[in-house]
Amino acid sequence: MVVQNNLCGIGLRTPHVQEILENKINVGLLEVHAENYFGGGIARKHILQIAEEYPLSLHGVGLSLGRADNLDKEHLARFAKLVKQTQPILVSEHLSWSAYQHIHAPDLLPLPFTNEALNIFVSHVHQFQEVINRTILIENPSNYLAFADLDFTEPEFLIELCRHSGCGLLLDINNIAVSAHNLGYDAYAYLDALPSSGLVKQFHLAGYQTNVLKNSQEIYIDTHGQSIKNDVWKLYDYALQKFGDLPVLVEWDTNVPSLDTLMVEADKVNARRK
Amino acid sequence: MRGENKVKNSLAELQQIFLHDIYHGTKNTSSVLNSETSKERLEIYFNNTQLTLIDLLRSLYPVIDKIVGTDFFNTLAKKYVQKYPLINGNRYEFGHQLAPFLTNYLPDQLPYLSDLAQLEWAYHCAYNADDAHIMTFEKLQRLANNDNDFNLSVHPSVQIILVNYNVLDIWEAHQSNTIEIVHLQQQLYKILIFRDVQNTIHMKILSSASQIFLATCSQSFLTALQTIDMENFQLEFAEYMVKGVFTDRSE
Repeated sequence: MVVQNNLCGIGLRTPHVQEILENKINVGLLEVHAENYFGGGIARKHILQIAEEYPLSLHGVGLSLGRADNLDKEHLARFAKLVKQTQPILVSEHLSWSAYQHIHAPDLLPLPFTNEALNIFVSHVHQFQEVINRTILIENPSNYLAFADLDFTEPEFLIELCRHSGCGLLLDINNIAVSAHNLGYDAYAYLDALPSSGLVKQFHLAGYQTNVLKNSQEIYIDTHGQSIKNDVWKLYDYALQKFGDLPVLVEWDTNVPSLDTLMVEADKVNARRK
Repeated sequence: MRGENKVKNSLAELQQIFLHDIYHGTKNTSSVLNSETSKERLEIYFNNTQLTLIDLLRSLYPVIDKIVGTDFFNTLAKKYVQKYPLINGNRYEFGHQLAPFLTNYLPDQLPYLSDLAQLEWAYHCAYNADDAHIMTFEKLQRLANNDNDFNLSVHPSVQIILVNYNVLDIWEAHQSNTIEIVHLQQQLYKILIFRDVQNTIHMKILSSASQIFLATCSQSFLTALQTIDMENFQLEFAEYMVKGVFTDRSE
């Protein structure tokens, strides 16, 4: 499926669903969390209608591709059914894990970048892509801690992952800024470590908040709950220059503002691309 | 990004330890963390897990939250999360054991709360159940003409619960900001909960005969008919047909 590079969209969250169905908005892309539409009833009816009227991106948050044991087959089947029914232009998941055996975390947990983790992740991406018959994009997560003495840096791990599985990258610029600050590395060097063409297929932009820990360390928290910060815009400008104009998605998941506010953020993206 | 202490654990061991940390507030993962990161960083994941699941539980049980208040709900939810963690990535399934949990958590106080949890969970299940083709009067007539007997399946949203208190009255009384006084009554109630063709949730007290009919018709419609006085039941049956309680499995 050919995806236009100049698409700019917003993350569609529950408070805006009715509004965008009643009044069609001028947006290049709507992205939803796939798991929110695994059930039937009203939500299913809405997603099918949205898929008919807007370019759609399905963004998974619960498959746990980095889990050391097997993927949840029922979860995979539900995801595949949703892909079949909605025919999204993009499907993505995260470079993270959230489950092992029968315990699941409601969070995207950090993966140690080891050879063992790479082999497992590649195998799970293959399995996911086979089940949905699509190439997927993998998003870099925001991290608050790092494991010791790893085999790869995060960009190295992502490059190897793409090479072995055939997946593409969804670069979340906000997450790079958050992780770089929290783990003490250079966000621009992170982008420099990735090849300028071939792998990166989409950008995410969002807002973070600053918290101070008990030990006085300042930490960025990836809340997706406010407008995009200046350092993220600057990093996006750099990414835009390096990787070219790719589909962009503005995410706002907590303290969800009015649809108009979200569209203003999307307009800011378009202004920077000109 | 590189430090001194190698990740010696296999990924499986590491994930087991990490999950224990974020559900129980331990910090065993810190032995394999980069030296520049502190144990406090683990608390971010612990806090996020707790807050997300407590809020999720609150969204599933809004009437119980109203009755016991935010602080008490937070306390019981924390204990619930530790005992019954999220078990898969489909969050619709989280929270289903609150009713039995409350039986043990509140043995003497608020005895109806566990029944109320059953009702709120059934509402959630009905709301999110899979869709299905609805049985029409025409198709039912054809089946009755063509077959000696057939199965009449109920819609995936249909839930029937048995409770010992008038929790449907309590639930209805808490749907507006002005709370009505409800006199607690202890007796056995059977409640039908289902989602209609317009995606509206209905909850109603069932007679024993209606309950037996609904339970039997998915095995044998003829047997189900023998369990009920159809003259008295036909209006109720027609209402169920119109609202989509029965499905057509042949579609």
